[in-house]
Amino acid sequence: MNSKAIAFDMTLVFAMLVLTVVGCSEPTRSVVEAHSEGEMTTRATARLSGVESVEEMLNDAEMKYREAQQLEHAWKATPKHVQAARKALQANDQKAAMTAAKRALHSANASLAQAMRGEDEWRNHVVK
Amino acid sequence: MKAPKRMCGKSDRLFNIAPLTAMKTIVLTLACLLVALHVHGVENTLEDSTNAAEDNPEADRLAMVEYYKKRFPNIELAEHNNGAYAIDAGKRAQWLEIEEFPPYEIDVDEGENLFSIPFANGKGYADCFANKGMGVKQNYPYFDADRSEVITLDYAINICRERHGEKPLDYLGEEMGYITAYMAFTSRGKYFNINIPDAGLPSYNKGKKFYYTRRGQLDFACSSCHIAAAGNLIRAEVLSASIGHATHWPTYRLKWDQLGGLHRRFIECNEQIGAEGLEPHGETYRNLEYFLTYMNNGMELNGPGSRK
Amino acid sequence: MAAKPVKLKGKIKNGVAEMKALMPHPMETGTRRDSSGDLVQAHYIESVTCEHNGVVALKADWGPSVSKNPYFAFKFLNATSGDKVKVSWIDNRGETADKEITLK
Repeated sequence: MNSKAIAFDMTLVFAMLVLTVVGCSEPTRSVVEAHSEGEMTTRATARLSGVESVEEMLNDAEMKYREAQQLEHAWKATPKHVQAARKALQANDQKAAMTAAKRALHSANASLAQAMRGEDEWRNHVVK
Repeated sequence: MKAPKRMCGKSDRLFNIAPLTAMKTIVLTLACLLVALHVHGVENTLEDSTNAAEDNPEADRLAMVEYYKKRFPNIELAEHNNGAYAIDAGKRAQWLEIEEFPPYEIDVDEGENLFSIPFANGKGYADCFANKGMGVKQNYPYFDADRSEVITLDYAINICRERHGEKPLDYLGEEMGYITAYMAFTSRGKYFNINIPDAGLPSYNKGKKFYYTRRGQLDFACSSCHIAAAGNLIRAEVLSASIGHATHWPTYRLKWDQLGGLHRRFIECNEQIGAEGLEPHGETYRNLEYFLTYMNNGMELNGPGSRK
Repeated sequence: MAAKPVKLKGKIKNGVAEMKALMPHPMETGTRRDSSGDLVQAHYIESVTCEHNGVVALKADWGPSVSKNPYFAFKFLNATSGDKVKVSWIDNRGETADKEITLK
């Protein structure tokens, strides 16, 4: 009787322990996760492209580019694609403008994601 | 089949758990929560965490030195101040030929000339530096407690100019190259022995964080190439070891067709991985130079250098 | 801009003199544009003369294809200690510079 009580107790405690540790553990960054984060950014951008105009995307990209600059994580690609998109708009090439705008927004999103991830990820590389 | 009315035992344990087991449960749950909290919360939120147990530049340096000893067992540590030429025999042979009559010789002469020209107010560079500016490059960068910032040599030169009513020099320009080349030349043969005061630790830590943080579209950190891939080829170049990275500046790069400083190389490197370069001798790159130079403690200065 | 002197080094190896010269010179082709968009005037070394004890040992015709601050190495026979070697140049603007050393 008592041993069953103890067994129940231990099971309860063990279950709590497992749940706490699992719930609080940091997922290790794997290459797969990093890639799927990239996919998420692409999908997020793709979802928007049907709804947002090129202008809206470029404004979004430029705002995020300035944010990335504040964080000292801006990518050279972002302004390059923004310029290409604006040039295509002037030449009335909607298709090229959309492609460039998507790239601009994607690179801006990715640079911000990199900045945020970078706050802690750098510790993985320190020579010990 | 009869469903059991009670879990086990005589007492109804769901509603009236015996005190001893309840105590055990509570204590163990609390212990789990505390462990989980410790793992999750305390360490990683502050940007320049001055967790005393972590801050040990000398341990960082020794770890890096050990790493390079293992990675390049056949290369003397001291040789790494020649960068890729310590690693690749073919490139070294070509470089030695250039060094027989190095392109920076002309620039050192020009630097000597410029260094001696007085400012409009009659003073000169010699009035701003210890030992009249001769043989002092190994003391840079250092942490200035009054200004609460890292002072690099180029930064000090412009502080000197501004103090005497002169316009600051372009950090990426020729004149800064000539003057630092001359000062570097007078420091040949000296050794780095940077000391980091407690007040300088946050700057050191920021520099260290920058060195190890991934940036740019290629998502590389300085360490990605110069630690993890040191000695490997990147396109046609050999990746050099960071323990020799601070010694040979300014460098005459054939690619640049002129002398350039370490920060020019920082900008170039960052842009090569798709990141926007930052301000030369701005706070971030000065902190990076501080970290990097400390890692070069014990290495012999051999500037100005020549590189492909 | 005044012409800067030639830097000259040399040594004798088995009777052969190995000379190395570094000549500070902008070597402008005349086709490059500056930051304001204007053409930078052509300014390059046209010919180089090397004399061994006063006798011309080598003459080179250069032009705009040689790059800035040319490094020039050459060898010649029948060299002995105490010989004088002189390297001089003249550019398209008539400016000249030279340097003479004594071989050890």
